[in-house]
Amino acid sequence: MVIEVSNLVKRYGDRIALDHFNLNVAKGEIFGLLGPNGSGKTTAINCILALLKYDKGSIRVLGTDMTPDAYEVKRRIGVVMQNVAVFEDLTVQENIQYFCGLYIPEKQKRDTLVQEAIAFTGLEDYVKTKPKKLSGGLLRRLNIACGIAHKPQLIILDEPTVAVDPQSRSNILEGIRRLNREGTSVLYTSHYMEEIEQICTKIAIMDQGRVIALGTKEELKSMIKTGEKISVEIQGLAPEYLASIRALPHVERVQYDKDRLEIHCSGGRHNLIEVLHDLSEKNLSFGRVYSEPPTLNDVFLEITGKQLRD
Amino acid sequence: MFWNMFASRLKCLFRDKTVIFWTALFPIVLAAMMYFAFGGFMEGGEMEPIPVAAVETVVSERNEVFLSVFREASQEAGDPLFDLRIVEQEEALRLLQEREVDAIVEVGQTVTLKVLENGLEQSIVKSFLDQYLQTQHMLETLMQKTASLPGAFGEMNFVSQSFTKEVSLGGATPNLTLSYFYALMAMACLYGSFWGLRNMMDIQANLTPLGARRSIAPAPKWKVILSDAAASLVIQTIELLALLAFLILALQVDFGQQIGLVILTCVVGSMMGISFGSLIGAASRQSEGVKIGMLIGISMTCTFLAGLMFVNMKDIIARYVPVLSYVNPAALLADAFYSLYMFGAGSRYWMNIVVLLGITALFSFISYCIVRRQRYVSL
Amino acid sequence: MSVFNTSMKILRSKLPILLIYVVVIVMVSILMMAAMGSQENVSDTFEQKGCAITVINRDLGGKLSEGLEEFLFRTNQKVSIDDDKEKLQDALYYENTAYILLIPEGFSEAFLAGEEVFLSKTTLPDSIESYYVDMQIDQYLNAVRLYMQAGIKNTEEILEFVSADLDSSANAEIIVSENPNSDDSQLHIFYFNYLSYSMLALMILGISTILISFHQKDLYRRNLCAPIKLIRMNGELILGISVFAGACYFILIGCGLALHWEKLWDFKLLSLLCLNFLVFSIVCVGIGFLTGVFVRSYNVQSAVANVVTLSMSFLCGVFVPQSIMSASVLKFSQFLPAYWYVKANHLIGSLSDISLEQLKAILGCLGIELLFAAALFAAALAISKKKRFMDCL
Repeated sequence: MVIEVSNLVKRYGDRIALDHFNLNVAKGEIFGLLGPNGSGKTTAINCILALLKYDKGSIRVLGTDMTPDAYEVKRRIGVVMQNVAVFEDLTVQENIQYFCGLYIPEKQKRDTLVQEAIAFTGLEDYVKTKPKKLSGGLLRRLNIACGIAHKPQLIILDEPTVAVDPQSRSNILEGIRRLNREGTSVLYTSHYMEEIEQICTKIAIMDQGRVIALGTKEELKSMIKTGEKISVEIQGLAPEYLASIRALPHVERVQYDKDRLEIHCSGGRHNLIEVLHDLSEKNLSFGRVYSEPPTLNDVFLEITGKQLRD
Repeated sequence: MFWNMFASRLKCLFRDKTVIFWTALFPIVLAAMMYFAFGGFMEGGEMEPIPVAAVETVVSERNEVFLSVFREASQEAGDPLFDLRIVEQEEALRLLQEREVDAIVEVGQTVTLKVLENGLEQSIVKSFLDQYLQTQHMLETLMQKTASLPGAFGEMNFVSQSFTKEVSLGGATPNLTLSYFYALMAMACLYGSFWGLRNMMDIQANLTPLGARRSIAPAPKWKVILSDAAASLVIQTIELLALLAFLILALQVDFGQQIGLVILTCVVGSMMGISFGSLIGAASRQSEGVKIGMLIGISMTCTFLAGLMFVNMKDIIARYVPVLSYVNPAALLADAFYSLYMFGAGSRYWMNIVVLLGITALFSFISYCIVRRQRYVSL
Repeated sequence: MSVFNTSMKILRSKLPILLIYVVVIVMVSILMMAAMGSQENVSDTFEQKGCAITVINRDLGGKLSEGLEEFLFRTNQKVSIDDDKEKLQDALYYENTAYILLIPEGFSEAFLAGEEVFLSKTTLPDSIESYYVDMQIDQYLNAVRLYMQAGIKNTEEILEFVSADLDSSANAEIIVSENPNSDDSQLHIFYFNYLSYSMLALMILGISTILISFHQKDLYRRNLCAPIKLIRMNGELILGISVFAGACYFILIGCGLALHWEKLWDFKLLSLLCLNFLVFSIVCVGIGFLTGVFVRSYNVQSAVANVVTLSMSFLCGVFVPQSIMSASVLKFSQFLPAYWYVKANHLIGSLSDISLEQLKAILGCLGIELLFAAALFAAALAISKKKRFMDCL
């Protein structure tokens, strides 16, 4: 295990930020921590990094108890913070040099690592540029370069893609995958479920300071009743018809709003055909039909009864 | 539409805390500091009694007479000339070395003055001693002459009389300290250039995104420029009047009687400052930081030459490089305040105002030409 | 040494702004040198000191007026100004002349005829100069009148007598001071007083720049995540600041020495002044620290730097000598460290011999400066601890 957190409790005054929070990240995983804003993701990370005091529980990172002076552990961790944290007055290269220098004392080794990090994040053309002149996406890349230049065994990324354009985002995600392939374990937080779904091998969904679901994305999706989501564009549907749809096999939930009929079905092979058959039997004319597998949002929705993103 | 633009610009500028600090707060703080530092001589140089130690090395009737005259001069009601101490030799030397007294007067066979350095105080003591000796000499001469001349000794008036009368040259009392504050007003006016710079930054598409957005808007550019200028002029004038009120009411700095014209000078100064900032903003291609540096640098040089740091500077420039004082807006402003105080609204004052307005017009015209209908090579 | 190196790089990026304050001190010292260089040298014989006076003589051909004028210019400097109201006012205002004497037309005749006539004068109100010149004029005219009353009718004879009378003067000598550099040290004191302005500005700007950079909330956390001991990181920061402060210390003193070596070189005086400046530099570092702890943005930083340095310099007698500041202001200034620095400089300058008593007074000032430094550091540490804790939540 790279990270083992058990029964972590953190209070801010009366408010409980982490409520018996448990987390286990295995070696070689890209572990995604998904949750809405304010669910405690950053607090959990700050506790894991020993930046915050906590009230109860234990944290082990890379097999050692995590404390503020566990320098040998810290040396093997890379951190990318939520906000860009670099020196305004230093150039791109100087910034990476500084942060890498905190980990790698030997100058020669450091210099090659810095060059590698610059190449890795694609900042070759900007080495002499000051952060103020970088665009948002490039700035994020610099932020990441500063966190990973020293080739850590474990990288903790706290929402590294907030306010990043799609192209830079996919760049960043691809980079994380690449690091992972080279053997780095990753702990990744985000409130973008698409990202988590895209890269994470294991996912924990957080709400109100607890992990409410844990597993691979397939496991998570199979945890809920919905197996398939069918939507049909259809006009002027009579309410009594909704009841007849509900009576179909596998149908869990039916909703009709703004000329759009949404049917949540449990797992089953022929749900779509059944529904379409039923519709044509009743001579209802319909437009486009979609069938989607459930998303993590549906998982979150079903467990907590609210949307992941407000 | 103009009013809408004007009002929102006014709001916008009022919230720029950095510029407000430099244009309003900073001059006030500086004025307060200068007031505290110069507090001593705001009232003019008061005559303090000069501390003197007298030593009587030989006791004689003649010396006693001298000392009694000396004592009298130290005890005059109102403003005594000396602060006299009659002490022993050693004590006197100690007092002199520690600069407790400015001079030692040794009264022996002759009267001797002992000092550590040449100075006006010492010279006054010397003059006093000279006078005593001269009167003595005169009496001796008279003794001889009156013996040969008719006319009685008794009719003569030995009481010393004053033969000079203070006349004013008209105008106010000269007080050099005021110049520091006039130069400070000039500095505050020049700092109005911060607003001008800000206006230019916000209107040129190649400088800021805001400028780009405003360039696209369908409002005619001159309207935008005018509303910006009007808003900044209003703020700058308010700030200057606040500074003026602070100087006059809190610090008792005398600006003369014609307060209306003092305010007019403030308005002209604001216009000058803003147009100067606009010129820098429009003409230079540097980054904002460099431009602010240029503003501060030029403003400080101008106010230095107008006497903010060294008060005689303005006069030195006016006498040796007169051209410079006609093109230095800070000197013109300081001189406008000064001449208003000293001579009232005369030709000298109006001359300053006219030249200032000319400079303002020139600066504004050049900046307008640069900004008007500009298309940019690069954004 | 990553932290140390980076702190140096940050300072390097602020170099142009920092250099301004070095240039200021160089400029001021050159100007001052020029001004002081033109002053007459200290003499060891007594010279009657005069003041700059202007005589406008409208009594052309009057014997008495001529005699008076001649007598006045024996000791006073003549400043010629046209008989123009505005020019005269200007000259008086800018203190180019201290006394304007107007001898009216027909003065000699009227005075010699025994009429009651007066001379007009315009002076700076209540000035010592005006008193001094009045004294001389009255002495001269009283003497003339006395001879007239004695019945001497011949004007030339009277003027001759008066001239002879006024030749007699008291012996005056300058005692060689036990402190030969009492006048020379003015330059030292001036230079070192001014140094405090530059040093304070440099320390506030430099140190707060470093601290603002390193204490940005997220950047600070990032540092905490690195395998480097907090004590080591702070140690390197302190080292960086010390190197910066030391460099400023030597550059500022060095500039003065390099430019004005002959005038400033005086081992005893310099060593004491440098010691005092060193102590004050520590105070400046403390102020810089405190600013760095409080301030979070560069805009606020330059505002604070300007206000603090200018206030301190004006209130404590750096720009304006303490001797002419009002007592009530000085009483307040005692609560500011620069007051004690300036005071110590003056004590050192007038130090006639290294006597225990005088040394005690100087060391007292240094001690107070150190207390200020200690208080500043303590406050900065306490506040930074509290702030850091809040930030990490």
